[in-house]
Amino acid sequence: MHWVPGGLGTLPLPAFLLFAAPIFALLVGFFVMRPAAPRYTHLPILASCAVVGGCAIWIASRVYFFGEGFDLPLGDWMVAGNWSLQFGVRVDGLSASVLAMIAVVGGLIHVYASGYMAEEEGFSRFFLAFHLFFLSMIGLVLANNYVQLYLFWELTGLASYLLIGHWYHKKSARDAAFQAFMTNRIGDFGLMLGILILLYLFKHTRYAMLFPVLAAAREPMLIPVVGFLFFWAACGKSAQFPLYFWLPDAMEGPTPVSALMHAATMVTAGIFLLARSWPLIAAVAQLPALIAAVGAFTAIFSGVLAGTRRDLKRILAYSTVSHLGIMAFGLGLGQPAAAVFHLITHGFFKAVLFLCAGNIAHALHKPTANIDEVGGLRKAMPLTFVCFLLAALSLAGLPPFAGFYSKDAIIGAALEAGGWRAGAGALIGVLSGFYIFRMLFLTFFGPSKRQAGPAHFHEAAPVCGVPIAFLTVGAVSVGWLHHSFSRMIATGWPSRTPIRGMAEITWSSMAAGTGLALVGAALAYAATLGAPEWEWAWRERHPSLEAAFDADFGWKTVVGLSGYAFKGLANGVGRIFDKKIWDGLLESTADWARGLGGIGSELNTGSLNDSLWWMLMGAAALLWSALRVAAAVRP
Amino acid sequence: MSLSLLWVVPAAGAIAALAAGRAARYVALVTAGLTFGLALAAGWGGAALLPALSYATPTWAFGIRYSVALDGLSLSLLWLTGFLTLISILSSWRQQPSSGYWAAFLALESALMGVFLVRDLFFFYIFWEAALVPMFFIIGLWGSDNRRHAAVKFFLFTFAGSVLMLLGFLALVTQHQLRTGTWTWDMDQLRGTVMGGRLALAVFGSMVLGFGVKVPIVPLHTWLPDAHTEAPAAGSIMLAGVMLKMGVYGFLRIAIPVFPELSWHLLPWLGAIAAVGVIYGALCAMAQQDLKRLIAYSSVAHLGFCLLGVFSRTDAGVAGGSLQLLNHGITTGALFLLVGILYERSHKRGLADFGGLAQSAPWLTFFFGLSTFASIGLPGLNGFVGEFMSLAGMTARLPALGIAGVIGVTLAAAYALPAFASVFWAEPGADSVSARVTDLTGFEQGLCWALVVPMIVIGLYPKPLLLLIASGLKGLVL
Repeated sequence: MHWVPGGLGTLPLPAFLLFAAPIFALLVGFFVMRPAAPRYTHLPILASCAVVGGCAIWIASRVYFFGEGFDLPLGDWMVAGNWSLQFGVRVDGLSASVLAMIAVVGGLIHVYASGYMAEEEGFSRFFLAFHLFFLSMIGLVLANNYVQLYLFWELTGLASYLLIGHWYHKKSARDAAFQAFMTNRIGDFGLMLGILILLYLFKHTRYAMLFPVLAAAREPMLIPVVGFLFFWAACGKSAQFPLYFWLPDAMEGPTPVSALMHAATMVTAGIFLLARSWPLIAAVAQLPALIAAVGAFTAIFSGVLAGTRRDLKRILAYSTVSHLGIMAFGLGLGQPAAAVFHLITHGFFKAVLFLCAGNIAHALHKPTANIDEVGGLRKAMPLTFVCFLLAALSLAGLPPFAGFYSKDAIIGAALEAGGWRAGAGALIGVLSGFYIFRMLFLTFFGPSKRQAGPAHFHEAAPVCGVPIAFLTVGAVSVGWLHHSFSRMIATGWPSRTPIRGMAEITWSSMAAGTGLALVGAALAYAATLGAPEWEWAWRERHPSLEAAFDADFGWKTVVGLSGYAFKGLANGVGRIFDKKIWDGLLESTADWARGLGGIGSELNTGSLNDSLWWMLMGAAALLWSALRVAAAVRP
Repeated sequence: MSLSLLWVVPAAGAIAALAAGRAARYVALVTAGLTFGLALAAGWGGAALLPALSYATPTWAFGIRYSVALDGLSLSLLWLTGFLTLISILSSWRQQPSSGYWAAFLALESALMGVFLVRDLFFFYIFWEAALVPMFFIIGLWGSDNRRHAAVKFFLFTFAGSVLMLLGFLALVTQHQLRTGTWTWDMDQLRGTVMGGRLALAVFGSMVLGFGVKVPIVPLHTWLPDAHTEAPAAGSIMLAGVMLKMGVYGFLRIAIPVFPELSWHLLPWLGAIAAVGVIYGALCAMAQQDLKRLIAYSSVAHLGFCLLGVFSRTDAGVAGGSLQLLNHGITTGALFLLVGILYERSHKRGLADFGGLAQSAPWLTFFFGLSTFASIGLPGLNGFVGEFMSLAGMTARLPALGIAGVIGVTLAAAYALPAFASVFWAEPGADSVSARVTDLTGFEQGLCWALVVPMIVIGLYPKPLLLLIASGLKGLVL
């Protein structure tokens, strides 16, 4: 790791291209392609993806092989007196590894989207917002200070708003887009306030100059406040309880959006924030414990819900919430390396799963499919089936697939920690095995009598199939890099305390992790293929139970009521108090003044002249008395 | 160059426009263009050369003299005035109002330029009041259905504020004379005038009320939604874009420098007023069903951010609050311009009157969306810079008020996005007028670009502007 003074000219070309290529592609897309040939808007953007992918891999390998990171200030953003904020780029083990995942997974999803969305209206609008999303995420991981991180953090919010609301003619899409943005903003409250406090304490927010001197803060008791606020922000972005609810509803966007959002961009940002801030978070007593508790609760809660959902994309959405919970759980257990590695492996296998669900929905010509409409697809869609199967094995954490290495490290740490953590870890292992195999069996095996079966299905076009195949290679094999990753993330870690690498995989942890996943898979088998109609039967027998699941055990109701109450408050203030009571009172004063003057009726109400005369007379009287007073207090 | 040209030219243009009859609009355009050019030229040499432009006559009776001067703060507001006047005139180009309309805008520009130029309280007051008259006519004569009522309300509220302000000025000047034996109305010489505690409080209070009505601070804001709603679009642009800034400018130029210590002691109270504005304005905006009213209430919230920054008396806060004046002018100017275009085509302004415009009017949607996000403080666009700096300033002083401000940032999304969605995204209802709304013409797109480009540039590279403005804020930072 070496340090250079900075300035835009000193930025290495690959890092420059990571920003320049997407910005250029967006400008060309907007100003040239959109008016001239909207159907080809994706061409400059795909080219930009290729450039970004190459540069990201180049940068990551420089960091990995040569330990060549950098932290460059690029220039001032806001300046006032001796107060200033800078732009800057930081490449270290953490940012380079996450960046490489984002670039590869995101780029492949772009390719998929160019096929998936080809027939859609608003193709060019979609691709521009899609690429903006990608750019925001690249900027987010490369920031070297919190304010710049916030800039891109909010831009991901904007892009997600536009993309979730892509089919804006649907009320559900509009509502989901608003809910996503608003919930994120409620989380962002924590990020912004935390940053403002850091600025107050240190006058800057640059990670590398911040973390080593945390203990020397002007008011050290504010550091825990910042830590909790950042965790709140991460709860919003990374969909932890209590703010997780926006993510499943965000399914209203087209499937590639879900894939991008769940795998590479957006939801990973919160976990990234916590990992980036780890020196700060770890320094706060009780905060890691809280993160572990919230993460474990979120993982279990949404794991259960994922096992009860009927919509394919929703199952995957709750599964993402659950996996984000696992990552937070891992962070809370003091395993940031394992959490970030899980973020990376999750990016690959979740992208595959979503794109496979997209293939299925696309074959139906619908935005999404539910389990009634599928069943027995493995013959009709063999490639999709194989990819889905491999990614599911990876998600369940079976060796030697990618998910095993990252999840095993977290669950192993949980089992080692003992107590409730061990119980939670075991439960999480079983649940994720259960819901993903349930989905696999219901979709690709069977079909049950209640399902439509494979009649209308056909394999996806190559432009959709090939990216999935590449991603599947990642979902299978990325885990093998776990030793390298442990070394890489320690490169340029911005704190005096080095980051702990991932724990070595032991036979006992491997056996435990595999066993738990297999128990889940066996349960899924028993609930689906073992008892083909049970999935439908229990719903019919216990509608109240299903309703409870559908309402997320009542939390959705609480959220809905809070929103309703808040709107009521705004209406009360804005329409009743401000308009009727306060403004009404002010407007009536003119009448009083006239009434007091005894002139009243013969003058027109609201006429300027008489009001003006009254005012002038009043003013003159005031003036006179003021001068008297001023003269009286002669020094 | 004589600085006085900046208000003399539009004043002369206003008279010429009245005389020009049907050619008035050309007179207006040329004059506004010339004035804006002069304002740009005044800053040509950079902040360091601005003091050389100042000019003052010898003293007349009671220490009154005509004096003009420029610094970064004034200059930025002169640019804003010149720019938005030009936009206002161009935006009403296709309408056929009488010559008085064009003259009123030039007269307004002249008065506003004067307010930001002069350094003598007497002339400041003259220009301040002079700005009311053309705006009164713009609302009252060319406004929509309920224009009379709104115009009178606007006039009474702001005139009451002005009278209080004048009282404060008189007391200040007489006190200064009593203490020092010299009459002066000069803002610089009146800085830090010593006076008894109660009297100081009364004078400062009168200024707070006088400037506060204009800002407007809650609870003196109720003239604003009516005035904005009834004014013609170009009038709203000037009203929100420039006239509200007079109030904050008054705090920056007069109230705080004259009472540097008192205003510092009252920081919790003043800051609380600003914070209440931020949250109250946002809540009220959430409840509105009329686009113009919604934007008007959002202005209450945005000006609250400016005041939070200004009152904090920190480097970041004062510079950010002052920059936010410009930002709000540009962003709200763009929003009112677009609402004006909607109204011109459909004669409706209600959120529920439209729907689905994203399909039929993509450019309108693009510009409105971008301006909306700039207005709610999306980083990368101008609003964020000012808001963030203001909040950084206030958080360093009084964290509780900083928190209130951050809540305000959160709430902004709650009023702006549903409004955007219901006009541009929602399915048009049965009595929707969306069919009448055609997309922007090339000319209108040009106007929008003129407003949108500064939003992006200031959002990413505010440094030159911040340095310029900060050069006029010396002595405000503690």
